[in-house]
Amino acid sequence: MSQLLTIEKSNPDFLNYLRGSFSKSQRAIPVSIQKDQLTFRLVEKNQIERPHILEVLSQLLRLEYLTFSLMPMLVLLGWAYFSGWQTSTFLISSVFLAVLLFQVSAHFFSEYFDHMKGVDHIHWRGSQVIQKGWLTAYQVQNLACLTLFFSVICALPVLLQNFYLLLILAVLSFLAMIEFSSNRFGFKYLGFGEFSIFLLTGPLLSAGFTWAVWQQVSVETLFIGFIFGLTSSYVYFLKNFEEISIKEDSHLLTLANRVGFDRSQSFAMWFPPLLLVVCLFFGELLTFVPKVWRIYFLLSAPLCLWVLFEVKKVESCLSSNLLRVKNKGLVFHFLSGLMILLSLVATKYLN
Amino acid sequence: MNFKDLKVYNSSDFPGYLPKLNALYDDLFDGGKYFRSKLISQISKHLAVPEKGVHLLGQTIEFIHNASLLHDDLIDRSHLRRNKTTAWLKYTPEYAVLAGDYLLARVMVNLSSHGNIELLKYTSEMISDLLEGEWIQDSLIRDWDIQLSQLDRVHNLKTASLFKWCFRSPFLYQERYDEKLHQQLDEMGRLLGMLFQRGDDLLDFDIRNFEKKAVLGDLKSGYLNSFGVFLSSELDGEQKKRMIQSQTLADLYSAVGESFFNQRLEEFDEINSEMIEVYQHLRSDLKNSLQGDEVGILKDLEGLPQLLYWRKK
Repeated sequence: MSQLLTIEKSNPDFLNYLRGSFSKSQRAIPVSIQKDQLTFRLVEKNQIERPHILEVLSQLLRLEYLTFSLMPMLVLLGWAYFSGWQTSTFLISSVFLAVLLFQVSAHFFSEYFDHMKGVDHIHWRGSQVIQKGWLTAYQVQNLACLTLFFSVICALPVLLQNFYLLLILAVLSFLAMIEFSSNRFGFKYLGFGEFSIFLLTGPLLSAGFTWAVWQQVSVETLFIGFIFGLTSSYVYFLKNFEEISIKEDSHLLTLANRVGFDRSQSFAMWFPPLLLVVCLFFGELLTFVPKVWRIYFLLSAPLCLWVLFEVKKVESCLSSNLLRVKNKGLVFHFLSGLMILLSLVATKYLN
Repeated sequence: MNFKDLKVYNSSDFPGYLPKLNALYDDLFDGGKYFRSKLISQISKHLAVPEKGVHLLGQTIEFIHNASLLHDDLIDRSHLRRNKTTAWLKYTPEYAVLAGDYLLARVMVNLSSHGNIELLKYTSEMISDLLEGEWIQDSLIRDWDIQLSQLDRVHNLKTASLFKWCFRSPFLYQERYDEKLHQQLDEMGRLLGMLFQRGDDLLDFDIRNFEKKAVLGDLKSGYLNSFGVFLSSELDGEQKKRMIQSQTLADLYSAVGESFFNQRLEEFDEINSEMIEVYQHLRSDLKNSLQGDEVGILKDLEGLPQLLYWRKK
């Protein structure tokens, strides 16, 4: 049996229902949202058909987004290996794990805050783990804190050795907090989401990672960070492009909303080829092994054309193929990393 | 109050010197059910809206609705409307567009003469929503992978916006601007609009098609409606291909399997019953925002899902 309950946002109990901490045996699932009040369906916990907890967690984790931190770190590892940089496996593993857990924690926080802001109730976006009653917002928040804690634990050996790294991580954490924490300060709601993602997953990540593991930063590794930062912010832009009509309704000004559908589509189509040209040009100028970027250019050209034509197919802000462009972007991000790795290997053997 | 007696449309309201305009409107307004204006009339009677006001509101909603039909028929290249040749075919596409625009302009003239700026503002917003919905819907033709949540957004703009207006406009006419009341009415209008649209989409699959409307019209014109999306979402590629190529219901049953069709229909009814439950919950909650005799509205609003989704008179 379920019952409906409408509760005003000014009611002191409202947050308990929204966070799911009002009862141990029931879940409150939002079914109707108004500006000042929300209607919940109160369902007995044991009446909810929940998939296996591992499936729930995998949905919540948003595994596909882990490419944002995974691929830059793998490429940096490859670069360092071929450049002959030495370090301990323990250090690599602990930093690697710390960064991944940090990103997972950011996903969980994002899920929690989007639910609390009411963005995910009406538009069926996000993992929907909270909205389907599989987990409460309160549990997701706890998971976020727990993964953040483990991330810090993993990073502890490095942090204790290095003050500057601590500083970089503090800046990173501060940016992430601003990014996900509130409507008032959230960069993503001010149209600067792409820029903060660029910093977080680009230059800051590469500088922090190489400094932590090898105690050095080079032009090449910063350049790798720059490329991944651009690619990640491109995926983020595609996500906002996908949600352009939702964001318009909610009066949230993302970059895609600011420039409009047509220009967003053009940008989304031409960004990957432009990125390749940038890689080739700056690769020649800045790095000591430009051959890597020449090979990368050749390997990635078909990938860019694929993305270009997929984005070109999108006809409107509600077309079904618009719902797939972000995934194309994620594939582009992942394969770009793989191509750079392949280019590194090829350069090594061609030499 | 019978709205046909009130004559929402009167040819003398439009300039006689314009060729074909009155003939086009005569065809357009003849045979309509005037459901929306009846709904306004029902709500208005509990708010003591004067007859002049009921006429203004009823005329406004019917003009806007019919303007959207003129535009829709042209966009969809439909040949029939209410069993008659559509305006763009009988006259010209240009006349159909201009006649629709003229109705919208007349709405603005009438409402601005009345002078309630809140009502005028809200009506303009509703027309904007309607046009946004029409604009987007055109791009969804032959989009066979569309999801229900996306279609709901179009229906919210195109269909539900008119229902919301029916619920809210009598209160605005009476200068009742209580924000909470309008939020509640807006949400109820949204739910009812979605239910109406989904009920209407089922007619295309000959479900509760008591009026014997032509079937599979949406599918044949390349448009996957809400039940079509729901039905096809669990089909494999080959079944889906056969479904969208169906010319008759027999073809459709053979493509998807009749028992699967009935099972999906049951599930579709179930999710919409939950929506009806939310509507009824909000309706009973509305009592706290109404004053005096206004509570009579609650009784009138109770049976609407039966009529609009289940199509029971």
